[in-house]
Amino acid sequence: MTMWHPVALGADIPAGTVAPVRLHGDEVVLWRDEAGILHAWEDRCPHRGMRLSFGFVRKGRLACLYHGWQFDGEGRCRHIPAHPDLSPPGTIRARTWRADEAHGFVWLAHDGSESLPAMKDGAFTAARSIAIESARGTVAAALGIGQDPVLSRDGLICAVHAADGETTMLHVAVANPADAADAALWAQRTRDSIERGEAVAWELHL
Amino acid sequence: MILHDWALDDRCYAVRLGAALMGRRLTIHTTSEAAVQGPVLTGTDGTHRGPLAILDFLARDTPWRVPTTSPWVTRADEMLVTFSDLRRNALLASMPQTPNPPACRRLLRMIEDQLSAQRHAGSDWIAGPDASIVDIALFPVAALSHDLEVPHDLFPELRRFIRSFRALPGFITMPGIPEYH
Repeated sequence: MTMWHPVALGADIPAGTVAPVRLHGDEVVLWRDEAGILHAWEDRCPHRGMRLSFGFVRKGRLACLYHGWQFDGEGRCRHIPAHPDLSPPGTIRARTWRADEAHGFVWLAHDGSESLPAMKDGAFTAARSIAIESARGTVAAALGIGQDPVLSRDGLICAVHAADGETTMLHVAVANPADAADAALWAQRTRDSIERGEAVAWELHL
Repeated sequence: MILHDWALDDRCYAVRLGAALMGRRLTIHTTSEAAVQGPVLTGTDGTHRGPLAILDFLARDTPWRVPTTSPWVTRADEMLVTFSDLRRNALLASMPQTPNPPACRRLLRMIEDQLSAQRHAGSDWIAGPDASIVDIALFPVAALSHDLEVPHDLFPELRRFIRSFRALPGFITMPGIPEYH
């Protein structure tokens, strides 16, 4: 069975930008080309191991900051600035992850062939992704997130993922765009409550 | 005006960056003293010490100035100085240092929370509707936190701030803050 993990708000990765993500300690680079297509790869240049998330997007390719090697949307190396006349062999490629978007969240899967399960439709507005210095299990229990990766409650749509064993990212979206600012503050209060070991208060508007 | 400067110092960079963004010409005098005590600006208008005091002086009669009643002027000064101490300790350490120190994470979290509140109020900037000396002072904290191995996947607002800031006309880099070619 393919495990899909929500790892970011899609709105936090605009077209033409790059972002690092960690999932259970695995380092992944997310980048969106100018056309808006999202890519997820291991955050490591196959050349010298530099983080690709330090790189930048140029004409549908991700360029490594270190030596400028350019990789196309499939992860294949297409240009090596130090050898401009060389056509790089097809074996030089970044390791790809499977990425998809739903509910305003970016989802990653490491392996398996199943697509992201269909979710109830709805246009959601991103409010905030926030780091909580607590283990994922603690955060999920505090929020009442069970098997379903997305929790919908009181107009809030929440998802969590473990960045590492001690740090969890909480991603919050809202059904009503007018609630986004209050939801961002709610995320902040929720972070502080969980880190102090207190119960989560679900009142959105104070 | 002469800036007593050290190229690798984050506080000195904040001043050089501010001068570049405001179009103020400074004569750079490199001195290793600035690596310890931070930037000093001397000229016919007297001597100014400390990154925010110098930035505030350079920003006179410009929109970069923030009302001194804003808590963010003092706060940004303290935050940059704290960060600078942490970074100097990490870079000049003779023994391996623990990466991602809690003190640096706390600084970044303060900036992250403020940026989130500002974004939902319609601004990309820390202390008001427009970019100011507070943003200039805190940009090095955001952009050089890699030197303390603080992972940026935890701070999406900070990543957005770095992108917006880099797009400002006149933006300059320092070692550790890359140019994208």
